[in-house]
Formats: sequence, C-alpha cells, structure tokens
Amino acid sequence: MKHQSILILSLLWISLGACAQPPLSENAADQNHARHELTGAKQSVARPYRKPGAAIDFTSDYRGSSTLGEVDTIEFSFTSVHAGLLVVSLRSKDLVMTAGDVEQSQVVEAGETVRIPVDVLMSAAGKYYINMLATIEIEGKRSARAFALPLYAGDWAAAKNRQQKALPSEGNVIIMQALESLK
Amino acid sequence: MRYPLRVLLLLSLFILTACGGSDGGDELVDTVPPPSPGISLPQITSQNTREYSVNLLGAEVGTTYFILFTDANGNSLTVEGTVSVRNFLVSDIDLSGLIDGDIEIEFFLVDDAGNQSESVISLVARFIGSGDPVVISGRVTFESVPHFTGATTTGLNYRQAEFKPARGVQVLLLDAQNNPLDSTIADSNGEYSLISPPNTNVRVQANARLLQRSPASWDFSVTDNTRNNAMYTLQGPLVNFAVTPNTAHNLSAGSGWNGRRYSRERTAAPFAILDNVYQAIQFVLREDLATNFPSAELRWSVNNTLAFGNLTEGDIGSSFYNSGDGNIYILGAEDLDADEYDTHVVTHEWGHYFEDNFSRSDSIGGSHSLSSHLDMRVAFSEGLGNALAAMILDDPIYRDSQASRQKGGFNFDIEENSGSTRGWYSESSVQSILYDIFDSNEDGVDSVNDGFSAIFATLSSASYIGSSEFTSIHLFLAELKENFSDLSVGIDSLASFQNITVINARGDGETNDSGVDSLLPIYKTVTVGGGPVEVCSINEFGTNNQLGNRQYITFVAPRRGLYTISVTRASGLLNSDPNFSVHRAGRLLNISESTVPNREIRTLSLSAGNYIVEVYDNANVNGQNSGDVCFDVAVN
Repeated sequence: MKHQSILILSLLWISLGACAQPPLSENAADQNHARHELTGAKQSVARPYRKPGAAIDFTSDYRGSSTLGEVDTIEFSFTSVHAGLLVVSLRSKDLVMTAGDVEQSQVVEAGETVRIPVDVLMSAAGKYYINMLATIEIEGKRSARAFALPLYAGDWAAAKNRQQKALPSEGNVIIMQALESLK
Repeated sequence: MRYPLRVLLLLSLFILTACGGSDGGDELVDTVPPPSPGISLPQITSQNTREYSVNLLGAEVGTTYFILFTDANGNSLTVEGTVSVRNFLVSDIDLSGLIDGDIEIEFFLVDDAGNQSESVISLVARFIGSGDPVVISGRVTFESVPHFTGATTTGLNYRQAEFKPARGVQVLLLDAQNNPLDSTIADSNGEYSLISPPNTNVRVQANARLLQRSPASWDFSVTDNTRNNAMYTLQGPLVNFAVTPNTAHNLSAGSGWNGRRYSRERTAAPFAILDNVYQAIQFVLREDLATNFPSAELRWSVNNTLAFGNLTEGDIGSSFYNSGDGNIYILGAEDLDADEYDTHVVTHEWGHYFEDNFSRSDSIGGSHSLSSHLDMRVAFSEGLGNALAAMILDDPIYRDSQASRQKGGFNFDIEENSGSTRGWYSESSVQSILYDIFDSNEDGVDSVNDGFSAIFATLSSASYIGSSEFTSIHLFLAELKENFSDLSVGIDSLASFQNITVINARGDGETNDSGVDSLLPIYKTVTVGGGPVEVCSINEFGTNNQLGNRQYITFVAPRRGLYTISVTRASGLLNSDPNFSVHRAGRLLNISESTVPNREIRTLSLSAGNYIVEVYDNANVNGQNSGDVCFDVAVN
C-alpha cells in the first residue's frame, strides 16, 4: 500500500508541474516533514505537533488543481471518533463556493463519516481557501477543530508572486504605528 | 581589548603578590573572592566628562578596584586604586578621550590574595554635544482581549479588552535615519527610560522581543513567517524631546478591532503572544535563576491558516512547535482560528519548546484530543503541554477561540480528573496527574501539593533524559517516585484514579489494556537469538499516532556486532507492509521502511546496550486501508 501512496503523490507532483507545490493531506504532510528531517547526521525526527482539538478527522477528494471557469465538485469528509452531534460549517471568504456557505448538523455514531459535496468555481488564477469548522457535542460538552483546504486555479504561482511583490519591503523588521500619548 | 587588559592587570597583581612570598609552613591561603559591591554611575555630560565620578557602595576595604571604560569604537580607559572606605568615591576621571554613545563600564575588585570579585558590567550614555541629554521615559502597553469565562462560552470578549504592560520587551531610541542611539528593556510594568542627545529628532521603538544576556539569558521574538521572518516592531513618530521635556512618552499597541471585525493593523497581537513567553520565563526562573533559554521565534501572521503546506505562505495547519527549526508557529486566521489571544494555546506550544530543550520528548506528534487513545509518547507530551500552560498561567481552564468574529471555540478544565478516556495513553490523564502534583487544590484523590520543583527536577534529570525507555507517564512517574519518595503514596493515588499502575519506567505491571489484550505488556521483550515474539499493529483507536498503531519491543545487545532484525507477518491484514525503527535512549538510530510485503528485515551494526524496536504496519500510520495485523519480531 505504501508504494501506491507514493505513486499517487508522485503523479500529483508531476501533474502540477513546476508551477505549484501539491497539496498534502495532514498525514502525508506529517510524514513528508518527518522523513525530510531524517536525512543527515542528526538522525532525529521533526515532530509534527498540533494544538489540542476535537477528535474529528477531515479529508477531501480535491485533486490539487482546478480549471479556471469550470465548476469543480469537491467532497468534504468529516469523521468523528465519538458519537454525538456533529456540526460542520464551510465558508469561503473568496466566495468560490457556488451555493454559498454550508452548515450541516447531524447526530453521528462513533467513527461515522459525514460527506458534503461542494461546487466551487474560480474565474481568476490564484490560491483560494475553503475554511471549515467542525464541532462535536458529547453529553453537553462541546469540542471543536478548524480546517482549511487550499484550492489552486490556473497559474496560481504567478498570481501569488504578484501578490508577494505587492508586500512592502521593510528589511528585517515590520514597522507598526503605535497609538501614542504624551503625558 | 578589555580582556587582555584585565588579564595583564591580574597577572601583574599576581606577580606582585607572589613576590611578597610566603613564610611557608601551614599558613592558610585566602581563596574567597571579595563580594561585588554596588556602583553608582551618573550620566556623562559636558559638565562632568573631564572630572567624572563613580561611587563604589559596600566595597571591601583594602581591595584594589579596577574600572574599565570602553566606547563603541573600542577606545578604553582603565582606572585603578585602593578602596579605603566601604562607600568609596572615585573622582576626577577624564573621559574626554571617549566618543559619544553607549560607554561600557566594567568593574571588579581584587584582594591581596589575588582573588577577583565577579565583574559588574553596565552601560552609561555619553553625550557632550551642545546642551544636556534628555531623559525619555514612558510605558509600552498592548491591548489584551480576554475570553468569555462562562462554562459553555469561550470566544473572545472584545468589550472587556484592556491595555496591559508589554513586560520585558526591548525598547530602542532611534534617530531620524533609524540608527539606534540607546536601548533598554521595559520593566515588569512596561516602563522604560532612555537617554536622547540634546536637540535631536528621535523616535521610540518597542520591539516584539524579549532579550536578556545574563545571569539568565533568553532571546524570544515574534516574527512573520510570511514576510521573511521579519520582527514586529511598534514605532512612535519622530519627536524632539527637548521641546517637551519631563513628559511620559507612552506607546500602545491596539487590537485593531472595530466592534465587528479587524479593521486596523493588529499591532497588539505580537505583544500579546510574547507576554505568555514572559510569564513562562519567569515561571522557569523560579526554579533556576541562571537558566539559559535557547533562542526561538514565535512566528505569527494574519496569513497563518489551517491548510497544511508551505510555512512561508502561511499554510501552517495548526499552531505548533516546530522541533525541526526550534520555532513556534501561531495561527492568525481571522473568523476561523486566530490564536494570539488564546494564551493556553501559545503556552502549550511553548511547553513543547520547553520539553524539547530542557527535557526530552519522544513524541511522534500528530493530531490529538482529550478523548483520544494515543500513542503513549504523544499522550505524555501533549498532556505535559496542557499542564504546563495551566501552571505557567495559573489558570487551569484551557480556552481556544475560533469561528466568525472569534466568538466560538471550546474549553476544558485541566484540573478535571474524570475524563472520558483514562489511562497511560490519555493526554487527559497525564495533564490531570501533572497539574494535581503542582497545584495546592486538594480535590478528589489529590493530596499532593508540590509545586513545579519536583516536576522540573525530574524532567531535566540525567536519568530521565538518558532513559532506555520512551518518554511516557510511566517513565516520568517512576523517576519522580524514585527521586522524591515522600510523594510516592500521593502519586500512586493520582495514577490509580487514572487507571494507571506505576511500578517502573517500562510500565511493567500495568493492567489497563483498554480492552485490547495485545496492548500489554507495553514493551515486549525479545532475546537475541532466542526466537520471535509476536506483536500486533492495530487501528482500533484510529491511525497515525493512536494507541496500538505502533508496538515497542526491547532487546539487549550483549556486545558490539551485527544484528539482524526481522519483522514477518503472522496473521491479520493479508497484504501488510511492516516497518520498524530502532531507538536507543531517545535517539533514533535507523528507520527501515522497505515496500516488501509482509516482511521487513535489516542488519545493523550496534554496540552493546539496550534498544527499542518500534514496529508498525504502514497502513496503520498513514490511514489508508488500515487494519489489525500481527508480526513475529526476531533479533539475531
């Protein structure tokens, strides 16, 4: 199974070509990070720490890039380790979800997966985000975990570079103006 | 320049002392250095530059004083003499040969036996241009936004925001070209004092940086990973303070919140993040005043979001401690998950920094929650992070704000003893035990009120850091009981309530298998050349970093030589992909991850000693087509 996942990841890299870094699942990103650190004499693993949150896993079938001007249907999957009331909201500040924001509540069994198909449409090259918040309420106690999925449309790297050039060049410090008072 | 000169002075004094000779016999030799006296250093101005005076306070009479003045160009002047009274005035020092700017003044005493006191080093500004320098003082503050504190609400309460002192931050005085003229560190009230040249346009800048060189040392700054890791600074306008003398020049950083959204720059965020680190430093200093904290950056950006990807684009996935680069990344995604005011989140991640630098962590990281059945190394590290946050902040309620307008989120009580998942694989159990050892609140079975000292001593002990076993609640509590036997009964009660049995660091005698027989014993033992032992990689509780995904097998290599480790499928998943890693005292020695189905074999050159083989099926650590599979593990 391992070589299959490596093959899939490799194909993903190739399909995105030189213009983009492929999106990685959380587990794949963790493993990629950890193994990268194993090279060299130090022989220690960089641990992919995470902050505490609800026992909810998120995956999607997004294939890593979208065609400009074409509707792309993505299935978002949320699996709760525990039974309870699972509430999921999906939003995009960039307004790429054709039907607008989504909110879905469902009582789930332990290990049950809730699947939410969403149509997205991007008319300009760039990198866009779908933001997700999943909460699980178990016996009146609420826990939550947030996620985000980046979507890549067209020559998004060039668009990103244009954005980066627009950032002010301030040397090695970011100067913020103080609220000031003389007394 | 300074040290060679001092060496010469000491050498000459030593020779003089030695030439004085000794009468021989059994004369006692004085090896006690004189105590460091206080020193009073006035500003250097045009009025006193040729007849500067220094007051020595409480100096040992009869000792020789040395005062070394050094300017920014390395020009130096040394003054020496004999102390005749305890409060001694050294006068008529001509400093006209030094240039304007900060003058470093090093001072020490040497007694007749050649013993030298500790050096005292101070900085004094010298400005003798036209007129006298101007003292600029004021206060640096940041807007702090608290959480709602109800039992079921935990979002940010902007209406209760208040300005708090930016404690310990570096404050600079800059000229019109942003060249530094003077610098200082804001005190615990956020107050600072700087010296400006007369009739000069200057500005005050507060850096999002905590800095100290001695006796303890640290350098923590808040930077932006999406802007070349540049440091956040707070600047005031150019002002000629000679025009407005004797005024307090206060700098404040606002949250940027307008009642509905962040409409202005979030200038308070870096200082809010840094204030957690200030508290963490003070907390550790209570145990060791000379702690040297390795430098680290806390990388925060409004672009830091929950996607996993390129850190420089803000796709950090979570607030987290990056053990690869030693820095902490903090979320800043408005309306989704921004953590700058989530004090427990920031301090939890600083806890991982602490564990990595002052103790040892074998955690494999990954996603986790209080209800998870985790790999025991993850459970301990995360529970420790939560407990440290509660200890440092003196607040057991962990709160994480999320959602639109930061009005949602969740909370949990680190003091809670009755979590839904209890055992050696539960971060909830770990945090409950650690916090109960620390706190003075005797709740339930908690009769231990020991503060942080024993916890700190255990985590940083050589035996803990060098242990053959993985970091876990068993290792920690076994070490704690060994070194603090008076706590043993109380610790056993706390552990027992969490369904944990602590006999030794290996977890021998543990009876909590969470309903899965194959999970115990925690460490299986294989004898070199003595036949295989069966272990099972399971997905009962999830994959990647959950309980049972990985199994631990120990063996003793009797002598240096080649050892062949083989892992062969025995039952379960038909197309398994066994892999393993080899560890010794917390060091990862080798990873063997071939794609050969149902078998993994590797020959390693090992020295004599204790080793752990960590065995896992690939499917159970990457989450794809996972299942239960058992392997025969042998070492020959």
